[in-house]
Amino acid sequence: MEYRFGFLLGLAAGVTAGLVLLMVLFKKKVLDMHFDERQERARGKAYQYGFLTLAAVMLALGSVDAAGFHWCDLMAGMTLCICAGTLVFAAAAIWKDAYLGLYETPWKVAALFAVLSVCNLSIGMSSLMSGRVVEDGVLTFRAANLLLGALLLVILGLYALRCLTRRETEEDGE
Amino acid sequence: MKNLRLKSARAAMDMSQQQLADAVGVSRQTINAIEKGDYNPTIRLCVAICRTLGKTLDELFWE
Amino acid sequence: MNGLLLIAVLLIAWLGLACYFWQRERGPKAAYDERQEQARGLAYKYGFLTLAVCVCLLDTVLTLFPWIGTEAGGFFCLDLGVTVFAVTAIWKDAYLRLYEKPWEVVTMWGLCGLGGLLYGVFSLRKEGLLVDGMLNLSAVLIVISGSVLLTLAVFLYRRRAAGREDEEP
Repeated sequence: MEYRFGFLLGLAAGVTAGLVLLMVLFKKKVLDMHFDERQERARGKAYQYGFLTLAAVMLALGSVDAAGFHWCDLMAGMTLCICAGTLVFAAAAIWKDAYLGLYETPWKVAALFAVLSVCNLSIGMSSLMSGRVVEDGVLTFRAANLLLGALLLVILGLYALRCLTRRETEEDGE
Repeated sequence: MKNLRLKSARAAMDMSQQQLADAVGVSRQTINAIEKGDYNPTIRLCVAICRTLGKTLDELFWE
Repeated sequence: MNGLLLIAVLLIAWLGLACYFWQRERGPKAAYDERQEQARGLAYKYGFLTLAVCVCLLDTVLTLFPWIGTEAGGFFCLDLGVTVFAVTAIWKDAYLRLYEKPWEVVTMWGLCGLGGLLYGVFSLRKEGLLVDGMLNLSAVLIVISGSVLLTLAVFLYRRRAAGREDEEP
C-alpha cells in the first residue's frame, strides 16, 4: 500500500514538473504549435506512420513475449514502443519540413533537444556502467533514459541531415 | 508543374520567399513548394497570395 | 494461452497486410480526396496521441490493478487508439474511400462485433472473469467487440445525420 502511494506520488510529481516545464517553454516561445496547411497535411501523414509503427511494435513485442522470449520488462518495452513511434513520426515530419512550427527558432529547439539528450544519456550511461540496465538477461526500466536520450539525438541528427540535403532555390540571400 | 508566374510576380514586388511567406502566414518551404509545383495550395491560401502580390487568381494560378 | 495470443497477433498482422495489398490492387478507386486526407491526418494524430498516452499510463494502471495483465492491458491500449482514430475519421466523413460501399463496412463490422461479443460472453460464462488471478482474455474480446459496435453505431448515426443535412434542389 505504501509502495503504491509512493509510486503514485512520484508519478504525480514527475507529471506536474513536466507540465510546468512545457508551460514555461510555450510561454518563452521556444515551443510553438502553429503550422501552415501544407505542414498540417504532412504532419497528418507523419502521425499515420507513427501510429502504425507504434501499433506494430506493440504487437511485435507482445508476440515475442507470448512466444516465451521475455527479453525486456514492461517499462523498457513501453519506452521502446513510444520511441519507435515517435522516431518514425519525427523522421517523416522533418523530411517534409513540417517538424518545427511557424514561429519556432531552430537553434532554440535544437539546444533544448541537445540538453535533454545529454541529461538522459548521462543517467543512462551511469546505469549502464553500474550494470543494472540488464538484469538476468532482461532489459530493465533503467534502459528508458538511454532509449530517450538516443531518440532525441537521432532526431537532432535527422534534422541536421535534412538541412544539409535540402536543395532549394536560393533567393535574395535566403 | 512549376508556378513560374507566381515566382515572377513575387520577384516583381521585390519580395523574397520568406517575406511572402510571412505576409500570408505560411512557412518559406510552403511558398517554395508551391513555386516548384510540389504542393497545391487551398483556395484560401491562393487568395491570400493574390492579395499580397496584387494579382488575380487567373493571373497566378490558372493553367 | 500464450500460443493462442501469438496466433491472434499473427492473424491481425496477416489481415492488416492483406488489406493493404488488396487496397493497392484496387488503385485510384481506393483513394481519398484531399479533404478526407486532411481529416484522416487529424484522426491519426488523435489516435497516435491516445495510444501513446495509454502506453505511458499502462505501467501505472497495472501497478494499481495487477489482475488486468500485460497482454490485456496492451490490447486495451490498441483498442482505444484505433477506436479514437475510427470515430474521428467517421465524424469527419473521412472513413470511407471514394468508391467504397457503406454496406460492405456495416456488414463487416456488424459480423465481427456481434461474433466477437457472443464468443466472448459464452467463453466468460464458461471460464469466469479471472483465470489464475488474471483477467480472462475473453473479456478483452468483449471490450474490443464493444468498441467495434460503438464505431458502427457512430457510423450509422453520422450517415443518418448526413442524410438529413443533404438539401434537395
